[in-house]
Amino acid sequence: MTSQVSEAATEAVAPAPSSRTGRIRRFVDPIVFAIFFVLAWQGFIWVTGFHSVVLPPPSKVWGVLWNQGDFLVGNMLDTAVTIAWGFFLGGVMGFVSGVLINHFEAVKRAIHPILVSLYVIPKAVFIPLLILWWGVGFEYKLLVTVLLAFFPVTENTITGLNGVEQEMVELTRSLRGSNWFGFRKVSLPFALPFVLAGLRIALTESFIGGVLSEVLVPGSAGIGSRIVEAAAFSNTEFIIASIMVIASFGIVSYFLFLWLERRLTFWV
Amino acid sequence: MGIELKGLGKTFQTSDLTVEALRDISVTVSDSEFVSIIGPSGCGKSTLLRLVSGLIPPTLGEVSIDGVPVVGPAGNIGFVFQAPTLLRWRTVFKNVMFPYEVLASQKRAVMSREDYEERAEMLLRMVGIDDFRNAYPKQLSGGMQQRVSICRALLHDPTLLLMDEPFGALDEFTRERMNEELMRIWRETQKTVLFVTHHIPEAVFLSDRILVLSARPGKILGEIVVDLPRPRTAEMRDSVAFLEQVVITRRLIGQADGDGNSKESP
Repeated sequence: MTSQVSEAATEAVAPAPSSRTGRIRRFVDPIVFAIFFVLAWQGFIWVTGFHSVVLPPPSKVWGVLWNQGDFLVGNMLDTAVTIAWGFFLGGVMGFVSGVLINHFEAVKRAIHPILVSLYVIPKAVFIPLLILWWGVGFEYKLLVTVLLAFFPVTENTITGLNGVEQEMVELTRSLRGSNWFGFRKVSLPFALPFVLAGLRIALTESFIGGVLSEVLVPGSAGIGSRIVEAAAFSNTEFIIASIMVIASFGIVSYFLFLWLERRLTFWV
Repeated sequence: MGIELKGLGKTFQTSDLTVEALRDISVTVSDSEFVSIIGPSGCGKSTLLRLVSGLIPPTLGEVSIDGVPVVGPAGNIGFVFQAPTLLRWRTVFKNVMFPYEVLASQKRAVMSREDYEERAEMLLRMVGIDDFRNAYPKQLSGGMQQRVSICRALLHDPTLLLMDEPFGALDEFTRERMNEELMRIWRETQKTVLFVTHHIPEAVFLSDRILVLSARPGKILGEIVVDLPRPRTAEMRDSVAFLEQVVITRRLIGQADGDGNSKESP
């Protein structure tokens, strides 16, 4: 009994001095696991003699990254332009429509049900139509990306603005402040954490939109098109290398955004 | 001149529901008077404050402050809500300065920014939290947050202070301390105060007069002139005179509760 108590006591004290180690291990642990995973992957192929077209060994993927890295990153940058513009436009439009829907009861009644039904439809069903209307160029890809980025921002903006407490509105009104002042100084900062969370989702949706729109149209710019082309030649190592390039762009932008979000909403 | 309510009535109407919140409220509150409004929950106490502040229009009757009819928010009142309602992204000091920003946005500020800042400092010192001027609301306790909110309500030197159960969410000890502090602030600033509460000893301790409202629709059931000397001190709470006032108030509220609810023995 007593030993249990003392154990619990040391456990409770332990985290404070080890927080430095904790921080280091947050980086070290994933790296160790990744190395282990790659070794296991290579080992699995050695042992089973899996055909390298079906599952290429990591060494071959590494070879593609090493020899064709510039080519892959160049294509990824083409895709990133679509993603960035789609994210930006979808974010702005999502925010503005969220504000309008929240502010004007008539807009809400008229538009919100339509938006919600659009939200629940898998966006891929619109792709054939968009291709018919816009061709397979940049505009089409941008539209797919905007379509995906738009909704999470709208929904979160509405949620955030709805959450503004009645008393906060009354505070500004009792001082005879204008609605515009109340919006800028009270509602908007209040909703900001929600809007940013919506934008963070929109960022990942933009990656989906940017790459998905390319995967459907081989021969165009962007890494998604390179992937479908490689698939035609069963070039699996190239596909896996491409996925790794997309993933690293995605991870870096996601964490950059998270960092920005935490700085902007320090009070949360 | 103070505040005058004449035959005030408020009925809320939605598409399928009509609720009469207040009926025929006529009261006169003189300058620097401290008046509490007490009554069962849902009796329209908060509605009354919102009518006085001009946030909502009355269905019947009229409110006037210093002889001027209230037709909308006039900007000369300070409002303290039940929740501190601080802006979480602002420091304590910037929260207290909020009314100045509203006034300045419409060129209605009567002093310079520096003068308002000085006043904010003074108010924070008065409630003893000037050390926390750069803290954020979440770093403060509930009582401290409500102190900040009182400072904010006083920054623009309002004619009238409206307080809507400001200490309702605090524990009993903090509430008593805040009551004593409010008395000190009131003495120093000489504001007219309308104070909504459902806590009888609090109303007795603070007020010159207590208005007792009936259950919905809220009507003035009676008025108690609190016969206790000022300044009010913490020790007074134990005096026979204080307890007598509490009993008198409670009896009156017992009637307010209506026939259905007065099952408890007196």
